[in-house]
Parts: sequence; structure tokens; C-alpha cells
Amino acid sequence: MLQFINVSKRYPAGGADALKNVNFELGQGEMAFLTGHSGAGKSTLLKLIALLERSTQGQVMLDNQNIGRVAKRHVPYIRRKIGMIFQDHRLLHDRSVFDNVALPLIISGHRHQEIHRRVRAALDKVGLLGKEQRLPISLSGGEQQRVGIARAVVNKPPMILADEPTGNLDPELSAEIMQLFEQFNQVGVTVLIASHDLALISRMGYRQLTLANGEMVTSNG
Amino acid sequence: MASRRQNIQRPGQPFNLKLYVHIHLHSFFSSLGRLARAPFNFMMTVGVIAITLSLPAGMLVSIENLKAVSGQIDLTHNLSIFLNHTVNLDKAKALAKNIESNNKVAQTILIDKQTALEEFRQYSGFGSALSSLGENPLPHVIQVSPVISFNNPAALKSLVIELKQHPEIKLVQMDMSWLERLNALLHIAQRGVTLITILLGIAVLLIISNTIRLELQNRRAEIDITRLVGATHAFIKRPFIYSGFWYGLLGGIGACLLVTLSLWLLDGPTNALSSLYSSSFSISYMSFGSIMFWLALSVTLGIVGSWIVVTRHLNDLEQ
Ligand SMILES: Nc1ncnc2c1ncn2[C@@H]1O[C@H](COP(=O)(O)OP(=O)(O)O)[C@@H](O)[C@H]1O
Ligand SMILES: [Mg+2]
Repeated sequence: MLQFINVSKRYPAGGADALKNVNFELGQGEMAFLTGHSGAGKSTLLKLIALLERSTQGQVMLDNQNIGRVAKRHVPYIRRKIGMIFQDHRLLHDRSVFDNVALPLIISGHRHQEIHRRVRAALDKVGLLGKEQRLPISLSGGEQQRVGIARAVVNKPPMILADEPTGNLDPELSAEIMQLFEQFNQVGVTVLIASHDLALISRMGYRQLTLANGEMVTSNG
Repeated sequence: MASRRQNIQRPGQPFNLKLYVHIHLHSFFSSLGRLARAPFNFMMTVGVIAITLSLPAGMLVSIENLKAVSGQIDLTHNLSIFLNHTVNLDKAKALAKNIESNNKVAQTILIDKQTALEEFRQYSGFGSALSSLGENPLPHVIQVSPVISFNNPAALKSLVIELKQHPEIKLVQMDMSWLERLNALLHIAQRGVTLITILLGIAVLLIISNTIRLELQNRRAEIDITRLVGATHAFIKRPFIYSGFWYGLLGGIGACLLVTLSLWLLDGPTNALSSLYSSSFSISYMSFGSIMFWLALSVTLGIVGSWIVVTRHLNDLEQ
């Protein structure tokens, strides 16, 4: 499903490599955690997959396609295969919960009824049914993150990437969010979560990929 | 993995017209809704566009009206023939008859120098000055109305040349020479308006570009998030281009309304004036064709202006 082959990334602004010669593979339907100290390169690695950045060297293979090479105009179609979740949620604050979750469906041109059905299903999964018309501001941090998750899964992407999804949440809420990801993984979605909540991660017992100063130090569970 | 999603934009998949129309209608009306949420800013921009475009549109319709006036005068223009001083009244009468028999001439009127002097004395206010002259300085004048079919400048000129053959005739004056000058002026004015239209068209383009640029800045976060979840450039551009369309359309309608209102205000005084001259002239408003022209122009400027700004913005983004 996902494979990094000798991938390096150097930002034009920064001096050192954010990623150095990274190699790993993630199978279809697999769930794994990406750990490492702050500045280790976790976010950079996820950005290369979602094509928010491009690698300076090596190949990022998604479904046997070297996505580092695709033309700009094909980038949106690759992003639609990936559900992205961020620590800061990245919600539209002047739109209702419903509109936020519907966004991926609207851009890919789904019908009205279809959008309604799928948004309600996604909100049901994350336990926010009944809050469709609320503005994100009026929700708690945990609820806002759930809106972000509902948006990421609403068009049923085969892969979910989450960048520190529990970074601002207390342990109890963090565990609930992680359980949601487990549920998605159980229905066949490939999941990769960047986190430095080592206690929670080790309790859950999934494979860990560890970065240190841009290098992959462990890539098996 | 096989995608089950319907995806109208992806190349190589069957085109779904219904969905396409649905998406366009959606952003078409949502763009109007968004504009209506900031009605003051929106109306201000529309107002600036309307006023800017009403200038050339108003000038053009004024020129059309002046042309109509000069066209009406065209039908009544005459020749005045001034005879030599040595020609006496009998000879003048004979000459008038002679000229009238020309098949290019409809009618002649002889104004003998005595009558002319009386009239001049009465109306000019130079009465006493004229009396001191002793001798009548005015010549006999024959006014010639050509037949209608000869009422164009070229034919008239050939008639003038013909008349000048007569030894008794000192001067043939076409009353239309000022008209030619007016027409020439109108012609120049029309060119001037073309130039002004181009300049003000560029101004409208800049106004719309700037407005859309501000809108882009205000919605920066929204654009970033939309791109993050896989929106194509076309999808992001669409609402902005529709905004440009609305600015152009409403600005164009505003311009036509302004011009029509101004003409309507001039209508009363113009009718009074033309009835004074027993002319049938009345102001003509913007034609359907010219309204369509100005609407098409402003809509085009709106679409082009926003397209340029949004395309540049998106192309400048890294990924
Ligand atoms: N846009 C950027 N420009 C320059 N340097 C960056 C940029 N983003 C991240 N970096 C650098 O790359 C390294 C890895 O950053 P990041 O991937 O954000 O780490 P993490 O998510 O593990 O905390 C850091 O040294 C960071 O300073
Ligand atoms: Mg990070």
C-alpha cells in the first residue's frame, strides 16, 4: 500500500535534512504509530504522503505509484485517497459541523441525498449525531477532533493519516479517539498515526515506526 | 484500489452532465449568497463599476443622439446662390426660373436685395448703420432646394459645380458645410469614446481583480483546507469566477440604469426645445443591442479579472 524507498527531505529554508534516507513499508489494512521526539520529522513524513511537500530524494510509493513524480494537477485525486487529520483540526470556523464534514463529498461532486446520508453516517460513527448544525467553536476540543475525523473518513478513503490527533486532549479522550481509529482499521482502512504519547501507544500494542533526527531508527513492532 | 466515487472532474471517467450542472448551480448561487452577506462592500464595488462604465456608455448614446439630429438636418439643407451686383431683378428672376427647370432642383426662392435689406434692417439692429451706407450692399440671393434624391453631399457638390457655370453667379454656398464639420466632430468623438471605453474597461478589470484579491485573502484558510481534502484548482476557482460574473453583471446593469436615468432627465427639456424648432426630434434611449453590448463587456471583464487573479494565486502555491 505505502512504501518509502531511500526518502530524504530537505526544506529550502532549513539547513539539515528533515528526513534522511527513510525506508519502510506499510501493508494494506495495517495500523501503525509513528513516534519520535519533537522535530524528528513525523509531520514531514506524513506531508510527503499527502503531497503537502515533495521529497528531495527517493521514492514515495502509494498503490505502486511513485507519487513524488505526479503532476500538480493530479495531486487532488491522490489526496482524496487519503483522510488527513491534524492536531489543530483545520476546520472551517464559519461553517456548521455538517458543512465541514460534507466538504470532501462536495468537492468530488456527490449528490445531495448521498451527501446527507454519508455525513450523518460519519457523524454517527464519531458520536456527534445531532450536532450537525453547531459551529465548531461551540464544541469541545475532543468533539472538534471528532469532526475532523468524520471529515477524513466521510468519503471512505483507503488510508487515514493522523498528525498528533490527541496532542491537546486528556488521557481519557485520547483513548477514545484512538479507539475510533482502531474501529476504522478493523473495517480494512490503513492507518498511520504520528504521536508521542508513548504510554498510550505501547498499551495499544500496534507496530511502531520511530524517527530520530530524521532517521528511521525502528520500523517494526 | 478501485474508487467507487463518482468523480466528474477526473479525466478518463464518463462525463456526468446532470452532476456537472448540479455542481455549477451550487457554486453559482452560493457565490451570490456569500456576496449578499457583505452587502455594503458588494454594492460599493458594483457602484464603482456601474459609474465607470456609465461614462463611455453615456457618451456613446449621446453621440448617437447628436447623429440623429444631424441626420434630420441633412434632409432640409439648401444652397444659397449669391448673384453679382450687376445682375438686375428681372435677370435674377429669369435665372431663378432657369435653375428651377433643372431636374436636380425641386424649388427656388428669390430673395431680392431690397427685401433682404428690409429684413436685415428690422432684425439685425444695424438699421441706422445701414442707412448711412447710402447704397444697398446686399446682392440678390436665390435659395435652391434640391430634389430629395440629390440630397447627399456628393450629388450636391456636382450641382454646385453646374451652377457655378452661370456668369451671373458670384458665390454658391452650401448650408451644410457646418453639418459636415459636426459630423467630422462626431466621428472624432466616437473614436475618443472608443479610447475611453478601453481605458475605463481596464479600470473595471483592475477594480474587479482587486476585489477578488481581497476576497481571496479573506478566505485563505478556507482555500487551504479545501485543497487539503482534495479540491482541484477548478473547484476552488469556480466561486471566485462566479463572484466576478456577478460584479460584472450587476455593474453593467447599474451602468445601463444610470445612462437611462440621465437620458430620462434630459427627455423633458429636449422635447420642449425641439418643439420650439418644430422638429420631431426626441431622445432615443439605449438600444437593446447596446445594452447587450455593455452587459457582455462588463460580464467578460468580471470573469477575466477574477480568473487572472485566482489562477495566479493558485499557481503561486507550492503544492
Ligand atoms: N516548512 C519548513 N521549513 C523549514 N524547515 C522545516 C519546515 N517544517 C519542518 N521543518 C524542520 O524539519 C524538521 C522536522 O520537522 P517536523 O516534521 O515538523 O517534526 P515533528 O513533526 O516530528 O515534530 C525540524 O527540524 C523542523 O524545524
Ligand atoms: Mg509535527
